[in-house]
Amino acid sequence: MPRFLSIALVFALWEALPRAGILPAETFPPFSTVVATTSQLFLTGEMWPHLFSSMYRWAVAFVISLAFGIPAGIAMARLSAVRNFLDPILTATYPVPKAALIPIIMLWLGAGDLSKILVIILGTSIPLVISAFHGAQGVEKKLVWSALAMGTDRRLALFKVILPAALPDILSGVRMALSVSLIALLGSEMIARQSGLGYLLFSSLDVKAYDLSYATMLVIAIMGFAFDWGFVALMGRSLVWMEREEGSDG
Amino acid sequence: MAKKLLARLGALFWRYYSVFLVLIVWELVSRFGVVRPFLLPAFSTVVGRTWELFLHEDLLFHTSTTLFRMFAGLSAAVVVGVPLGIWMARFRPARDFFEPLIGLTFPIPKVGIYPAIIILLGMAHASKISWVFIDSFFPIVMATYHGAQHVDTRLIWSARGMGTSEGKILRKVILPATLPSILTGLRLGIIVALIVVFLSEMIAGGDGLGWIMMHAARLFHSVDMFVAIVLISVLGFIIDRLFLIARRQLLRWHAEADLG
Repeated sequence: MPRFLSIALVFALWEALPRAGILPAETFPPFSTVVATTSQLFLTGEMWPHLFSSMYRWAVAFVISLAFGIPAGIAMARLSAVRNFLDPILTATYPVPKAALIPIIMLWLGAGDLSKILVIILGTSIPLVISAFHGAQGVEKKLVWSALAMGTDRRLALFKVILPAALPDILSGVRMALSVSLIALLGSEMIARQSGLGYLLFSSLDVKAYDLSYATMLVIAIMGFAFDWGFVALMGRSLVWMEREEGSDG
Repeated sequence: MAKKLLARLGALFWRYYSVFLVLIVWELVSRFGVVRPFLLPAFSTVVGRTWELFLHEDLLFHTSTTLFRMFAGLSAAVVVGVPLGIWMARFRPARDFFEPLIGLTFPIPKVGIYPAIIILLGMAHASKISWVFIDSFFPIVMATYHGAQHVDTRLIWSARGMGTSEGKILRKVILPATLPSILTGLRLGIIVALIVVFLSEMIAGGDGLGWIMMHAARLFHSVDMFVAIVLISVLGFIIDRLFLIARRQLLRWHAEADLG
């Protein structure tokens, strides 16, 4: 069977069903129409400001989450006081939907960028902390000991031994964090509606401008897809040394 | 006996001391007016209000609505995801057909296509349950597929060699060997389902805990907002714990039983 038969089939159905009138074209426009509307929105410039404000919030929040989450996870693995404090809190809050906090954070910080960024940070840092913690905890003690015995100082051992050994776990956490961050971004934008893709998505739905909703959905889908593929490509490059040791199980 | 119980409670307290610390600080900060109680109602106030809403308002109805939607979507995801995952692992054409499709749709943030589901299915149960189904389907099918792919082929061969029928191999060999992976996927699915059901109710409203949150936010009734968040958190925590207990029972024979 050809490899991408199923994907071709999905797009063919998306195009054919509304065209044949099996699904109503106003509420379910064919694929080509959605693509046309989307490119129109980019050409007229209507889409850009929303895309930019979403990307701005996302980027700020993601960088802060990386800068905070990974060191916190490693600290949890290395220092028992940090672990004893953070571990129960993470266990207790793990199943809590972070998006549910959006209205409360807006109550505290207003409906602006600040509260949206904070919500994204809350959602994004947790998978990062957990994966960095697991990764750093799984580092073989012998590796650390021998590095220290050979006179490596502790800080260098952190960067040269622990961080590389924890990297595979951290990266799988980053991948999860990427998908969580998009959900938190869109969730916060659709609840505090000012600008951004989440805003566009639901304000167009409210006024029944379905073609605009579908165009936004296409942009979001492409974004999610691009993030994941970009990440996989980047990871493939940075983990070449690991593949050789562990086989193809990565 | 009492002493033993006390010792266990003490150990539990020390293990979770930071959680209690957070709750105590929350209570004090609000009680002593460090933060305006409107912005952060005391923990005890929230608990009292929850109790009141259960007794005198229809909080029980909203809670059960949320749970119903969550479990309806989640069960559908298990019913479709587990057989599909096993089928993909055991049957080459099924894998060739579905793997690219899952690879394409998995990275799409499903919240981004929720409007399409609303347009097609309306604002009531159906669209919310469908979103829960779609989002929790992915971790379940992927974990099942991955697990079923790594079943020791020698187990299947020896079962076949002893004349076991294919149906029985599926039930007695493949399914048990895949169970740990299925359960890992299911745990992720539960957490995702919880997030999604709450978000769907916040967006499309009407009833449920997510609606309570948005309704309270619109009326600036901050205590009720905290009731919703505390309730969904406690529910999530309880469901997750119950799941872990059930998993320990199911996997007693397996080395992974004590994980998590």
